Amino acid sequence: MQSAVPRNFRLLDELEKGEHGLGDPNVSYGLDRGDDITLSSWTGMIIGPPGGVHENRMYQVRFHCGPNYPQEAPQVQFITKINMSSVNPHNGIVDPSNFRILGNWTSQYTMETILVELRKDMNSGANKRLAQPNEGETY
Amino acid sequence: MIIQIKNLRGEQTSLEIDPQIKVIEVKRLIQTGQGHPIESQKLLYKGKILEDEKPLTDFQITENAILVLMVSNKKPQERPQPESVPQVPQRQEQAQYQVNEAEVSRLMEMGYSQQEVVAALRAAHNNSELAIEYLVSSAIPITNEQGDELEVDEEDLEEAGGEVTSSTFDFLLQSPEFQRIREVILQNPEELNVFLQQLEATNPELLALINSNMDEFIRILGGRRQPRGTIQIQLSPEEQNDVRELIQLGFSQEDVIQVYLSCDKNKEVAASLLFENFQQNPQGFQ
Repeated sequence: MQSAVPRNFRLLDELEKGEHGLGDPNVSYGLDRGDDITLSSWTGMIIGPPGGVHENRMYQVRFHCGPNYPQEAPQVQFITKINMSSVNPHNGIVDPSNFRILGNWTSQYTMETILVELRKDMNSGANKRLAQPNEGETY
Repeated sequence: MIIQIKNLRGEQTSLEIDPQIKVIEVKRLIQTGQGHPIESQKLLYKGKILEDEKPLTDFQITENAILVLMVSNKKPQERPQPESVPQVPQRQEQAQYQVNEAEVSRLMEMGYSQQEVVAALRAAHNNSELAIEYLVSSAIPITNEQGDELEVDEEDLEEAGGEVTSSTFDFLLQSPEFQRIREVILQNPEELNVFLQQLEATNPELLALINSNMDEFIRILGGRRQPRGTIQIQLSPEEQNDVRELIQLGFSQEDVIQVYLSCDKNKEVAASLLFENFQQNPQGFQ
């Protein structure tokens, strides 16, 4: 744990923010298991943006925050199947080299930032019209 | 216990509930309070979808927790028909100008690009003979999707320079379609009203332009047939008969018409004026 941004302080902050739904109402996140005292495994949900193939769909995402979070980006993986340029089609892992926020991670970013950016990316020109797996399928 | 329900626009409502109830009971309360059918609701808490049959305690939902409510309003089987009946006529009109794909590929075999072929077919309103003419002469009028004339380039303007010119309606004179309309109107002036009525529906901007430059428009309508400044006068069959009789007396058509009109289409007066003032045509009866 580094002095710059203490991991647990930061994660407890995010936990509280997620519980109270203070941020963007189109994304939601929280600890995967309420008893996870390491604050490592998180679940996020993205409500598909309107105007494209993702409208009215929900996408579940799992975060793994390592010991160096937030200096290092979390690992991000889709649980719900999605066809999207930045997501590995076999295991749902978001490829940091294809996803700007993860590739150029700074400790200012939060899990909410990631969810919001993923949601924006769903409606980008490259992804908006892609054929999608059946709703609700998981990796 | 009180919980907050927040929708996707960020609006919150409070619900007083028993912490032991199932998620489905919460949805029922939302249905009663906000009118969203239970099936269309999804509730999220801390990144998880709340399953209907589980009690709230399973999700550690506590006092003042904020649940996100997503309402999906788009049930494919219940979606209203995207276009209602009143729009049908308009769609038919547009369909008329949709180019026939078989025709496009046929013309493309002649060695033209798809873009050219489509443009030519549109400009020709799907008349393939005319489209071929455009393609061969590489003079495709520029049109929008409805086939209305948009603009012309300068070369075409120069070509037309010897005929009728009109600064306001240059673009019309360039249009083969307009030339056809003009022929029709010249043969049957009543067609002009029909044309203007159609224009009101298809191209109100052009109609406005015509209305504010009516004189010029009339001039270009008569254009190719008449020198500048002449007026076109219509004669009834009886009047035409009078004119013919006067000409048979040996006067030129030009003189006869001039005199006939100047004495208010009175055949007798015209005849005496002609005899007094005009030379009979030496070649006699024509």
